[in-house]
Amino acid sequence: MTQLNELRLINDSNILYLKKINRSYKRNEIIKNILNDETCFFKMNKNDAYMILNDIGILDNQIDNIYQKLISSDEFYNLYKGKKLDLNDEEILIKYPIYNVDEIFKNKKTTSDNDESTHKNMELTPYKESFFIKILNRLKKIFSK
Amino acid sequence: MNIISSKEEINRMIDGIHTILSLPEEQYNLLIQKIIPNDKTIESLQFYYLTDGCEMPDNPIQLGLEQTHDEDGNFTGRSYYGGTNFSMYQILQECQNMLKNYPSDSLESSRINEILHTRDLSSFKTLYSSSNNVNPLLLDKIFEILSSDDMLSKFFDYSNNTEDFIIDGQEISRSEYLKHLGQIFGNKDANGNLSNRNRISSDFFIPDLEELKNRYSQIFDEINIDRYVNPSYTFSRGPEITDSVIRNGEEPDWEIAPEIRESIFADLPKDLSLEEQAMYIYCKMCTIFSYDEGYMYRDKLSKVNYESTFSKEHLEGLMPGDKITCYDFSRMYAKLINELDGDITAVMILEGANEGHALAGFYTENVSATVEAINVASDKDSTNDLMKAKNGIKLKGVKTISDREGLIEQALDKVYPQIIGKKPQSIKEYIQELKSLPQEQDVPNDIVLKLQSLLEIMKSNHIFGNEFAQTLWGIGKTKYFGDNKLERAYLGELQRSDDGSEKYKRHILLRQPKHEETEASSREVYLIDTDTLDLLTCSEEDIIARLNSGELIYESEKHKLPGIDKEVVE
Repeated sequence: MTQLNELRLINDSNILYLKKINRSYKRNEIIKNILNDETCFFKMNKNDAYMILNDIGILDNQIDNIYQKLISSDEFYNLYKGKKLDLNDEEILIKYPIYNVDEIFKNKKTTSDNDESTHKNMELTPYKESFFIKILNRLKKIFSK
Repeated sequence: MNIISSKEEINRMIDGIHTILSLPEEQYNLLIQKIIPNDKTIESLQFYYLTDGCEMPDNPIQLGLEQTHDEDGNFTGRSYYGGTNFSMYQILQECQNMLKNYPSDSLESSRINEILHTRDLSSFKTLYSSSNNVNPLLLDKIFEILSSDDMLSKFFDYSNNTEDFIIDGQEISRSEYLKHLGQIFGNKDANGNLSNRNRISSDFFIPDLEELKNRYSQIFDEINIDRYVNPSYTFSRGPEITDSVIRNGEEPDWEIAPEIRESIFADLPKDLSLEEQAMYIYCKMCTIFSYDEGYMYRDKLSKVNYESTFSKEHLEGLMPGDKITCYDFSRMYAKLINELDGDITAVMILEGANEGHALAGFYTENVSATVEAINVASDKDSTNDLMKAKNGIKLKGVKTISDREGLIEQALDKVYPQIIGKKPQSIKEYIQELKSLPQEQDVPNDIVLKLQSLLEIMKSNHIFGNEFAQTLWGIGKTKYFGDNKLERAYLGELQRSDDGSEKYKRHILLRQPKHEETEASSREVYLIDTDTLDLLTCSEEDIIARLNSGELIYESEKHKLPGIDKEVVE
């Protein structure tokens, strides 16, 4: 289960509990609306995020750890790949660079078509030669005995 | 068709072509007849050597064009295997290259030209026109567009140049041209390259093909041709291979209650585009219906709309304000969209082989999208636009398959405030609202009610078993149950079946930590069945008694709740 889903469950449980004891759950309803947006933590500053996590009931010594996971580059990239995050969304405050793989490797030389035939024509490397010579020598020893 | 050469001289393709060029006249004429494409079949050529492996070595050796059956229908081929598959394009390209090796008045030159002619552009047009019942003049015009920059630019400015695209005195819509262009040249892959796996690229040899494709590529980039190149656009099949698609007219007709029509269409603005109308209807339906959560317990209840089966009586009985399932919503939405005037089509999609979920899809000339108002599966991004629309939250259930101009987003931005009465709030606005509210003080910590609330939420999200246990472990690390963590252990409850077999059901045993020494020594404990999420509140003695009887056992001897254990008999 994702971290965000867990937060939603805790918040929903809070709402239901507060309803049962006839206390106001307005804050939790607003938090529910916020959490409905999978990209919400990328759209708020750290203080607001801490406020929300505290409201949900996350322990003080856990808040930073959870917050860092919620706004991690992995999470950002997964949302982007899942088409849930629009890089042009002006609401997004926390962004990570998205690289085009083709651009990164565009200068890398690819092997030519001749390489396979070139390799076939090459002599065995010294390592392989010595390996076979070792085997040969062992066989000689065995037969000489 | 198999062409058998005696042995390798140069390479398989060239040797095969040489064999064709030196075929006896009767065999050659037969080959030409077969190679001309028709509606039913389009032959390819396979080149083999006598020395290749074959499955029927006892059949007579044949050189040249292999006859696979005799007059009596007996199989006379040798079923060669191995070798390389060449496309007709590759073979004909090689033929073209070889042409310069022969005098223009030679038999070989004549044969090469004849073979090339069987698969040239003219031949392609003839086949396409016949197979698709298309006016040949339209095809001529299509290839004229692809052969001329002037015609291409006029095509881009179609509305001002319609006279250049008239066929037989009739005006032809641009979409008609796009349809055939898309069918002929297809889609681009993820890297933006046109596929070569289409008929014109592989079964024919058109020397200027690259030039034609370049111009087509420009059309592809400039104009939305997705409808004609992407099968998903028109829901030829569902998003997943196990989905089934129900189109207009494939289910019995039924009537939507006038009250629903009134609720949806009473305030429909008159100037909306088709895409805006589709979004308007979606938003309106989300406001007038609620989700039938009884669907979550469909294995215990039997209601007609908890399954994908069509029920005219049920559908016609729906009223505004009713609780509905994904099946009801998708059927109604598709029906309403299909009744709109204009080039818009909707379908219902049933997900999976067991048809356990439904959504709708629609497409126009400009966009293709799915609408999924209800999706409560916990392993997906759950969406409930029926709830969101009532609370002014941005809707998440519309997913585009093709929307080059962002029309769906624009449509939602336009119609949503008209229906909801306000724009969907941004995260920033929600946070401002949150900050303006005071925090609730002195909220009592009723563990039983908290557990009940938690378990209800888990059930509604279909979280049982081990997933529940893991989630509870995570929640236990929060302040949900108060400042002190609940003590926890796992128990197994022995269950015996009628056939005598035994198994254990897993339970979680929870207890509040002891606060003061003066507190009563026996505390309340809470036992949760992880399969059903039933909660039992009992005393420590009750658990001890059940441990003593063997009805319950600790899952691990190392993790027990202190003070709750089997009594040791001395």
